[in-house]
Amino acid sequence: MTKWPLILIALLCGCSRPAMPDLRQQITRAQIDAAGQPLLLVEIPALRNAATLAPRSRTGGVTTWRSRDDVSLSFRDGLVVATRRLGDDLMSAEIENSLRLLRGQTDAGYVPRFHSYLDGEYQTLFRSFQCRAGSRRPERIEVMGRPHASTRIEEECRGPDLRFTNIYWRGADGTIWKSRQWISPRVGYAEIERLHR
Amino acid sequence: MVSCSGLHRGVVFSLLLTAIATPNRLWAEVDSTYNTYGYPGLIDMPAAVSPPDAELALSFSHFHNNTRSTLTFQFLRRLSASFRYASIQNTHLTSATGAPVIHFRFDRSFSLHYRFRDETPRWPALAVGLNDIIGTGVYASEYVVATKTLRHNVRVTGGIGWGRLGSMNGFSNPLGLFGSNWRHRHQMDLDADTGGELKLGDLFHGDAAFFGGVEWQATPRLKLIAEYSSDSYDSEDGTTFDRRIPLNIGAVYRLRPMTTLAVNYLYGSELGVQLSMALNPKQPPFSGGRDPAPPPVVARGTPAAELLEVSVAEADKPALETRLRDALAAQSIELRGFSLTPTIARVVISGGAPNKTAQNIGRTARILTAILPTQIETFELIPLSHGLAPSQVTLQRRTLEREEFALDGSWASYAQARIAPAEAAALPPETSFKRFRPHIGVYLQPAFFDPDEPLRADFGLQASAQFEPRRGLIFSGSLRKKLIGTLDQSTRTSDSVLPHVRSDGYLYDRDGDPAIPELTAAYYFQPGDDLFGRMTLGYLEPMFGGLSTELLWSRNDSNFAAGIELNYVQQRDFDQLFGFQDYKIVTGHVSGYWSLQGGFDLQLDVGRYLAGDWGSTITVERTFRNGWRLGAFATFTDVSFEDFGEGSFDKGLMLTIPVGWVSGDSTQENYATVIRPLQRDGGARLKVAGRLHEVLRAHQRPGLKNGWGRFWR
Repeated sequence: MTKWPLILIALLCGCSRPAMPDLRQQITRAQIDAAGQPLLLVEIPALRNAATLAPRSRTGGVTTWRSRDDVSLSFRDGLVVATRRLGDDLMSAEIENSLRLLRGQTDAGYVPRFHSYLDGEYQTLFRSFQCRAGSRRPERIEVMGRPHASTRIEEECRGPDLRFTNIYWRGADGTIWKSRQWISPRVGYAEIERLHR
Repeated sequence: MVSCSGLHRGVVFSLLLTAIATPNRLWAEVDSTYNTYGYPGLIDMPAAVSPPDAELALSFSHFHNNTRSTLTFQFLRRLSASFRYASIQNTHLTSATGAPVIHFRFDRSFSLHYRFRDETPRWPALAVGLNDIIGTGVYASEYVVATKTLRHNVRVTGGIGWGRLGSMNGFSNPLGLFGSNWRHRHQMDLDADTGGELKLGDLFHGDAAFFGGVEWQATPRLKLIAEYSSDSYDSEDGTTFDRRIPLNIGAVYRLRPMTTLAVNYLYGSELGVQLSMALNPKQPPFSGGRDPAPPPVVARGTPAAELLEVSVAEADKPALETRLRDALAAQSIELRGFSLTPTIARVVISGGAPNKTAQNIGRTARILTAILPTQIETFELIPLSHGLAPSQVTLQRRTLEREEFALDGSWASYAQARIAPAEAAALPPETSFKRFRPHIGVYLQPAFFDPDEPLRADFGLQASAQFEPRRGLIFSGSLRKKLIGTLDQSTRTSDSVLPHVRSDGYLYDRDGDPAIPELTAAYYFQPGDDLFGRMTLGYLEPMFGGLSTELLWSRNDSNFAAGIELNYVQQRDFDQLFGFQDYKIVTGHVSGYWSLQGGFDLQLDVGRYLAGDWGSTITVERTFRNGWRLGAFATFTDVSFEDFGEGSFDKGLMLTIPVGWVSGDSTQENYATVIRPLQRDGGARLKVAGRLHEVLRAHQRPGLKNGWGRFWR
């Protein structure tokens, strides 16, 4: 009964959201080098949110990175396989085909990609997509003042009512220095940069 | 004659193409909105359309001297149920010409709208509806209506109405074919009628009339409507407002996805406005994902697990327990018991939101992988609810290590878990935990639909505390101090001929400042397999104190439970402090609880109510797996409708909203309310906090399964 005012406020007010914090202006190369651990810069334009994430755990080839306000993103070889605390989270993903596609190991056809989510009643909801390699070209990029030679690879995916294009900037050793990866309908794309120490 | 000219084929082909290019659009282009009565329709008339399943809409409509506030819930995909609170000024007491006029009237009414046929390319959708079935009959009417989309943005509706909807240009009832009694209908008489009786005898009786209209979706957000109304407003015409012509026109604009604003020009004389706001329990604002990210699984064989490679025998158990307690506390989970064998860990936990028990289990299991020696292969987790342990969830450590990031990890973890009744006698000894839990907050207590004032409320401070000296023994109490409010403004002295077990409520509101709404000692226990017990002693609720006892048989995996409750209570003083009045009563019920397929709960209570009346209550609730519950109940006892007074029998709506649904995190609280059109003394049940079925529901297999999607959340 005591939470009734909260409910009313939440239902009646549209939440006004602040502008996305511009972390690039706040982070310096010196700070990155002093951090003593690798960092990810993750920006989510649709949520107007940005944060730096540090590695927290590694299980079975999946590394989970976590921000100071307890948002986490988990990656398998640089590709997002789970998110937490973003709201409409990616609960899990099957991205083996996409990894092969990135390495140029599949021919030009479509390969499946699977995601799982929770629906409004917190039940598991699977979404499947058909993906293919888009353009692929070498590109020199700069991440926080540090240049990297990379291959820019597009992954074009479509599902029954959704489509998205992920973009990866992949170094010669397989490191994904920078990427734009689609998370979910409400979260949209996450823009991720690896701040090398 | 079939023409096969090239032109014809071209047209058919392009039509086909249009149909393919705009899938599902052909019949969904015209927006379905709520009418002035708040049920699906045109402006003042019904239409054979339905809002999306489970939509809950609140609409406010006003035109000269007429205000209607309606709560409509799409109870089934085809069935809309409405509860309406209307105020009408200067209306006649009956629809007869020359009847006396009353200055002001508040009226409560229910409606049902059932779309029994979907629209097809050739045939219209069909719906049938009943209005004001158990109210006073001011809005009593029935209809059968057909709605057909003509073009993607034009829709026509036509129907036949009875009662109010058969009053304009009415004709002799076609159902008169089945007997002449169908041609007659009792006249509404506000003076003589106490309302509340189901007037089934009058349904579809008396004169009938046609109504209809057309809707044009001018833009994706704007819909224009014109209708011919078959309601002649006999009892309102000339005093409430002037009904000049039977035509209405209106414009509905969609402000936000679930909010519409309508402006109508009604009956050739009045301008009206209507605001409808909806939400859907299936669509939480934040998708339920605002809890902090969970702790990770620490897999054996990885560098992080090196420290765990000690045997259970040499492990420092008190140190493990401390680490476990701290790690769980960081997740708002309480450690209540902990024991180790060489390969098995048993962990008792409590806390967290009830519909997120599976999430708490998932988090506890992950924490255990980071703390327990690697030899331990099996985790037995026992979530407590009010000291009861209905379930034990057994998980294999291997599964957790393997499935954390698997695509179907949630299903895999459920399939590989064993969920069984916990053996209460074999629980590990209690660890130290926070036994005293004080809380200071604010409260808001609304009172809806008083016959004199639709909404009253009190707002104030509430201090509450719980003390649990040992598992299952819970002392709780609360103290309220009103800061501001209008609940004490009710001056409706009870005219009840029954013992005033509820109808003196306004006296409690007036004198209870400060008040002790509740001060109890409760003991929860498990006397046998699948058996649960409760004894609660003290000031049980604002109006009664005494002893309440309950026994419930509930199997872990069953969708049926049965219980018996026996109470001996005495009526409390109006000041809601420590004193009692003279009235004492033994009251109690035998109850059956069924969970039906598709998210419906049915409850039947048979027994003796507070006023000494005997009877039964039937409750139907639609339940959502995210914790929302919406339902209705009705109680029939041996008190005659006449003795019961206005309303004739006790009935109402029940609504439970998990606060976490709104905030997106694991808030434990639920907002639960019962909305009664009127509170009288017949069929009144004792209110006791923590009844067993409610306490156990989320912790047994069906409840855990419903929440299992959150295991890896």
